[in-house]
Amino acid sequence: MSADMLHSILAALAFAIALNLKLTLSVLRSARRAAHPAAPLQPGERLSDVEGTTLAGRTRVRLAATGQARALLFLSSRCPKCRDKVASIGDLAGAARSAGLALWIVSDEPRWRLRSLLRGTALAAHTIRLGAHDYRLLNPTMASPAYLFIDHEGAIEAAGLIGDQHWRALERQLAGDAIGEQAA
Amino acid sequence: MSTDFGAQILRCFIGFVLLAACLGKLRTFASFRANLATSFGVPPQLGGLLAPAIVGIELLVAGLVLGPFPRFGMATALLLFTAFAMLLAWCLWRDGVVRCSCFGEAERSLSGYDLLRNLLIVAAIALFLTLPAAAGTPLPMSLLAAGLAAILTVLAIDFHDVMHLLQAPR
Repeated sequence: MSADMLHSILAALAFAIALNLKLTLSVLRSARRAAHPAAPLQPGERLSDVEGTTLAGRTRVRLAATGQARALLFLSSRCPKCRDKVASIGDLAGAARSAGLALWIVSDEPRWRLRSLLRGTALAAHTIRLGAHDYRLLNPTMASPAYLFIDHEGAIEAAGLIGDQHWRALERQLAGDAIGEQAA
Repeated sequence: MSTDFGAQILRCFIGFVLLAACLGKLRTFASFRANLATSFGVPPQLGGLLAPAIVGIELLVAGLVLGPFPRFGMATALLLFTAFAMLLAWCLWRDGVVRCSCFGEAERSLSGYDLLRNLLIVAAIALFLTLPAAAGTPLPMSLLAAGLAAILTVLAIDFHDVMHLLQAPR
């Protein structure tokens, strides 16, 4: 076999490998989308028993633990709307703690990115990091800015986007509690 | 011979990357134009002119690289990719989030891996420019170089996904 023939065959093989790589990556992307159907969690469902690590202090927290109501907030540094909500959520955090509501920002993003997102607030103490797989269990649609309200039993009470009617009701309730405490 | 062959691979690689960038942008042209405004702060009217201009420049540079003026084309590509890398680094540092659709990726924003990819491309171009001018390779060798460059191109374009796959737990 001549050298030219050999080079031509190797070239064909190289193009075939490139095509194979491209197709394999396309199939993997499709499989990933199919494996994670975008169905949001519904009220009444029990929260998956996942654990996260706090951004400040790095202590482990079980998000589905019973005994305390929780609001899980999903903010992404990649969404401009989330950045706009950070300041108002920072204002809510203190009132939520006084009202006995545990407010957690849940994210799978790197620490430096979260610190950049939360800069200028005290929300690092209210932020939990999870692995990407666990994050998808809590936020299958990868919605942001979004929330889950969890009751004392670890069941979902409400789910939606920050700013919707349930969220505004929580804001009003916490603001009312804060005014009541000041008056007392 | 080996230097000529290596230079030919690098030349085809950069040419293919530029062609892929043109095709990717044309495939998601509306997203690309919108991202110029939302991620890079380009006024919409200017974005309407800038988006096709960028595609046109990339096509022209690809033509130069793969055509009769490879060294001039590669020097132009070096400027182009250095500018893209600096702009991307600046936007990532400033906003933490950049959407581009530069290679047709509509579903995700750009990551540090995309920046690393651009820097590797810049390094590949710089390496080509340090090599002596190629005397020309026979057609079968050129085809083989093109085939190997095609593999590198796929890996470069999907660098973000490849790196995530390599890091994924088994």
